[in-house]
Amino acid sequence: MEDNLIPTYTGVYLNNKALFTEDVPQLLEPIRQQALEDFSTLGIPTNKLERYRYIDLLPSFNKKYDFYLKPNLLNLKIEDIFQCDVPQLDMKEVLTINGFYYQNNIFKGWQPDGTYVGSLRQAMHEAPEIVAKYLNKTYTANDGLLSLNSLLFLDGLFIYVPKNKSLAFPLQLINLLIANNDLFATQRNLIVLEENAAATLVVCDHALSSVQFLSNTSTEIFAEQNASLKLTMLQNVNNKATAITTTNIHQASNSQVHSVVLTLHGGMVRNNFNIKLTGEGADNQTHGLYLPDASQHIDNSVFIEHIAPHCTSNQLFKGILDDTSYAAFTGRIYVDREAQKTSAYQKCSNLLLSPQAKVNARPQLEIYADDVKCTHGATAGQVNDEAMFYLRSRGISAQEAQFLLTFAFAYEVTQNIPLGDLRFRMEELINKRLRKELGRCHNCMITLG
Amino acid sequence: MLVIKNLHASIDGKEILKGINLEVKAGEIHAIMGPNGSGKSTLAGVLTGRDYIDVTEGEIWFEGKNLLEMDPEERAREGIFLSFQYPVEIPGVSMISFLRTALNEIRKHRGLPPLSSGDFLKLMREKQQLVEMDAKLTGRSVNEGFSGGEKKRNEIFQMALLEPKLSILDETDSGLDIDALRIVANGVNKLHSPQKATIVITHYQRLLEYIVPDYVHVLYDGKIVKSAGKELALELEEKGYEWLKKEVDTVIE
Repeated sequence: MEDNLIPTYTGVYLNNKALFTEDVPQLLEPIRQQALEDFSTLGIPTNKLERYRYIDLLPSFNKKYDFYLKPNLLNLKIEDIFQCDVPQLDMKEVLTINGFYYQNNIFKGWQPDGTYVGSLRQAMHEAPEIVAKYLNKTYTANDGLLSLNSLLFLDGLFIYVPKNKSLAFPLQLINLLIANNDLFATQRNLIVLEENAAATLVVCDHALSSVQFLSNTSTEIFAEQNASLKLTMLQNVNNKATAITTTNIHQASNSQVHSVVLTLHGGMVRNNFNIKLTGEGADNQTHGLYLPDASQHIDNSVFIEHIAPHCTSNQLFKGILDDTSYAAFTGRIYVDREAQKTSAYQKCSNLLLSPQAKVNARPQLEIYADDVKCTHGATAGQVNDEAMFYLRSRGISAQEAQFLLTFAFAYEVTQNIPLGDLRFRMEELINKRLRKELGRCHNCMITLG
Repeated sequence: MLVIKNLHASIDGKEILKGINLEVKAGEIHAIMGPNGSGKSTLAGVLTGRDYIDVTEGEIWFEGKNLLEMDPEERAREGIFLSFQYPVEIPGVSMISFLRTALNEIRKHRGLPPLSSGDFLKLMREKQQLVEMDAKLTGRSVNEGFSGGEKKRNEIFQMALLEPKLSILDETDSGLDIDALRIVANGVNKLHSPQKATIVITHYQRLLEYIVPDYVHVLYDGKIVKSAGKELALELEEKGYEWLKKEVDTVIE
């Protein structure tokens, strides 16, 4: 099966080379060559690989898809297509459609204050030096999905915040999948924060059609010295979709990257985080909450490399699993010989609401320095009996008590969502999701045919 | 109001309560005293519906209804309240949503409409004053980070808010300093009325100086071995439980 898949996907590139090279600067050429070579060797990861042990992606890849290689030039305004009421705050929104930066977004590149918010493809022309300096620089040739992304991406979001500047508003990136036939989408985002720069980004993934989607998205994040990024990811795609995200983060000294990823819905979801702390005093917080039900499969994999001393990292992943859903968490912490005074924490807790739900949590520590503080832990269980009795002894029904405690379980993660209003909206979504009242996001309106 | 007849109960097959008989009428305050391990907390657990306790024999009637057939939440809605010996911390459940959910469930059971946010907050402020509870505490998660004394005050605050008919105070005095004890006891006394009843479970006589009982029962080895007026508590304070134990053990032999 696998042998057939490699030519299928390399063929997408080789047979459409004109589309992949037209109007694109030279800098992409070596990236494509390397990716082609690596993917031809690596292929789609199978569950024989240690890091993909708990997920079988082959059935999702072994289907016929349309490949979205050219943006459909839709002449519509954002407001006419899509309204998301997650924000209701001073957040600005931009869309991508099937991996392409939407042409009518309010941000179209360079801003008066010297920041850049726009299409990655366009930025290759408008900010070539910056793109050349960072694009694909987090790439490692050890994951076929990342190689495939490097081979097939054509566009995505590019954010550049220069030294001592901040993005003046929280930016919301809404990734939409829209199609009449089963569709494969690739997207590459690049976020560059120079020294002392700051940004807040909210990323929402939505599948708007009920066809089968396979999306392979990669995001590269560079936080230079003292830079700060707050990232919230909300995944709410349909049960027929397979969503793969790879978020590669490089952090220089004293930088901070705080991420929270909430997975409300998704047939099969795989999130890879690869974080490299290369400068002293860098701080990384990566938290996740996943709420699968039905037969959904959600798999989070976090790899943190402590290269420099005095860095801190903290991972808290929590799952609430219902029905016959399945979740996996793999957290690997690597502490280099040079990375003395490292503090690295990792915890994965799961609440199983049904006896058929299953979770695999694997913490892995690899420590080569001797003066470090590292802890890890993993649990799976039911709600606390004593708390349950306490609530019921005050007149609250068993069902409502169970709900309150389940919601409370999620709170430890949701309290890390940076903006108060956003946190409140996210909690509302979780509330609806746990009460099984959530199809799409609350009030999310799509009027595109 | 409450009638307990020949109550036997066991935990994991071990019999803890061995034939309790007790009647509590509206307007009365009963104290249940006894040495550690005599079954005091098990009795409170049976009354509130702990599922790890098996009732093997006997009956409990509350206002003419069979209590043993009710779930814990139904008992609460009927008007039974337990002030916990060890109130549990529940991070992530806010005091406000907890109390509002509880109060509205109880109101619904009593045929009353749910309270509006404004009325609820007003009521909460009013009841807070009764136990001199710091307003900041109601902005937190249930019992999270509360000191021992704050947890006990929070129990009485909930009692004030939910207006039960029968309140059971399980070792409410443990972990309280004398000032906190006075405040908590004052709260309980203010809430007491001829329509309500209170059962005070305590090891020491100390709390009974502030909440004066009409009856004192001594529980020993799963049975009520002595019942009398409030003077019994003083006698126990003076002589300890040993003389009673001896008396009972002699009779049994």
